[in-house]
Amino acid sequence: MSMRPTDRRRLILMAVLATAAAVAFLLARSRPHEPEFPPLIEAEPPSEAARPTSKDPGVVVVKNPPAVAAPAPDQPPGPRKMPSGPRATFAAAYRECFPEAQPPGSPRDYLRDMATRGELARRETHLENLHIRTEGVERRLQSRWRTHGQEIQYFDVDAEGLPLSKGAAVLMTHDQAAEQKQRFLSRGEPIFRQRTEAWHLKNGQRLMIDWRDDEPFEFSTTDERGTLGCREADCLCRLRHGGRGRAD
Amino acid sequence: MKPLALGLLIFAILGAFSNAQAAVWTPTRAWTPQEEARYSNWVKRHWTKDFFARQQIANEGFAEKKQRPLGGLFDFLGGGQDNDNDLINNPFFGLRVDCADAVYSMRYVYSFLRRLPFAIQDPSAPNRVISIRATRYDGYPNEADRARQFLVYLFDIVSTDSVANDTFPVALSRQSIRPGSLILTTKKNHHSWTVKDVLDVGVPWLVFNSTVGKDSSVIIQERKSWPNGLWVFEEQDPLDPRAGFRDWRPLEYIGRPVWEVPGYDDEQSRIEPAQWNKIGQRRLSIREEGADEELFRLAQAVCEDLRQRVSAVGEAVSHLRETQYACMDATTFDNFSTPSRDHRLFDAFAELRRAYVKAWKRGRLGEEARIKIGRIFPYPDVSARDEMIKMDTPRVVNQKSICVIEYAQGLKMDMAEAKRRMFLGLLSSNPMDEINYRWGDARGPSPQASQCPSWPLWSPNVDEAN
Repeated sequence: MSMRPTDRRRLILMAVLATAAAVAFLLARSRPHEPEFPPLIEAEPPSEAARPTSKDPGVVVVKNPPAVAAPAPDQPPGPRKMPSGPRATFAAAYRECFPEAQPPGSPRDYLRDMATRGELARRETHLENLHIRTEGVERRLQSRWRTHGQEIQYFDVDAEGLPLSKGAAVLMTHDQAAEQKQRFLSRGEPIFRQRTEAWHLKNGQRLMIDWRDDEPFEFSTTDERGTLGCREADCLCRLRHGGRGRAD
Repeated sequence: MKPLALGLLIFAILGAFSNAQAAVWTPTRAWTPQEEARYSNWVKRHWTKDFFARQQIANEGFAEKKQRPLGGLFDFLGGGQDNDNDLINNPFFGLRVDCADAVYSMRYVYSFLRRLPFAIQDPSAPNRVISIRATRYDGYPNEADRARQFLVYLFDIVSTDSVANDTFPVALSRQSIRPGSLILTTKKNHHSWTVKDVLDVGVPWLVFNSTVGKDSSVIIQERKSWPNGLWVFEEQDPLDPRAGFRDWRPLEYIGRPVWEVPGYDDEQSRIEPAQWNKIGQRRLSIREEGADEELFRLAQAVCEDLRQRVSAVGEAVSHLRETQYACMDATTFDNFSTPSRDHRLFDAFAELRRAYVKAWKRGRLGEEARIKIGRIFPYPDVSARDEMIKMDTPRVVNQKSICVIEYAQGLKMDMAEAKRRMFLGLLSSNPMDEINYRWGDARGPSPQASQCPSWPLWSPNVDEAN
């Protein structure tokens, strides 16, 4: 039985479309493999070999105690072993930077000691990020400190976790900003808080602290001898020779 | 289901699959040292103040994808609309940028043209990354459109604060500072510049913009001079060495402590801010700059700043009139006031004066400089303050004038008169003042400015010009 012209045309069109779709599928499969991005969350502490060395002969970089050795080749890789706790890593770096002082137990102990011993003269906040979840949706507020107030900016978060600005940052007084933040936090369940601040001590020492959920995630302090920087358990002492800047 | 509808359904499903998780663009190259060198070369040659005003730009290898098999079919399926010439349509034509936007654009545009990875630390969530893996713009089948939309999206979330997350401080040396680097100020002054080039005489050629500049034009600003170190490092905290020259973090170092980034050097934070320019120029130079060469370069920088002030003040006055002189809130006041800009303009005048006085004392002034720059600083033998007192009569535009600006309709002044008014404190940075006050025809504050709240402004300390 012969095919009607209409049906023949439809069959040809369907065949063309199906072929086009198949080609598209094959082309998509053949796209170059996208280079991997490194993971950001819970990044591994750098190995000794990866530590940058300064070109300035006046700076000595003192490294952490070495990481735990890799497992034997005939064993499956087990869970990654951290260096033996904040105490060993922090203490070693602290001793290098401040040899006369007894190292506190951990960065948190160090900061708590500063605050409770009355050594703190002034605190200056620089930045805050507040995240809440309200009705299952994440929302964010960012506050950037300026000389006479704070810039407040709000964000929604899309399905991929990307922040979506809810308008330009608005400059307001510190009191107004505090009120905005209180109102924001009351609208949902707090899920994350970051605050970066500077501590000025009475003896002239300064600390920069990055708090995350009220824990000291990263801090650094410096004096004429050098800089001690810590991110969680991972600390580094950069000693400096020759004083302020190079003589030119 | 009818055959036609079935065929269309199959087509739609497979077509959608081919575009699923498309990303803004798919990287085909990596940031190797060779690519970084090429990036610097691209910035030096193609990153110009009119970049966003150009309808066509060099393709930098972007059009190579035309060599794919079935290229025509690829285009049909949503590929680029490239041509085979050395130029391509500028996907970013017409975009308006502020200072931080310009910094990110410089790196982003090159990344797109060369199909390199691009990512920044999420400014609102420090443990997350924002990258071109984002699929929210998959609805744009054309890759160039996706790239443009994603950049516009980034403009809404980045700031000078986030620039510090994605970059790191470098040594003050010609090896570390290159086309494609940037300069960041402290949080106090929250400003940034991109480095288009480093001149042989050790001076950075900067391309940049500002918040007000973003509203006024797609053409951004440039200067061939050092920013004032005292302003760049104002209220610097030595623990937060963000100010000064910086470079881009390798992507694998985003989110890591800044001190781990290869090439990290905090020496700029330990240089006396007042010496930063002098030390920097000495270290970056490969030849000495002649006296007249320096004077006219600095005068050109002053002229650029003056012309930009005309635009900025014009925008502010237009807004003032449109709102019937209603008092401004803090954000609007901050956007339209010019204390930082006026301070930078004063610094530029001060630097020019110091250079002129030095050349005059050494007897190295050429004839043209003596006439034209001398008109601006007629009393190099006295202090800047005493010169200001002696310049008690307005300078009228004449054949010796340089940089004549029309600051209001039918009203002109030259650089000498602008300097005279600035040093006398006549130029108002208060956005509630009308144009005659903004340019010193009358001494403010104006009645309407006096009635409204104001936020800290700036007035010159003439002694800093010595």
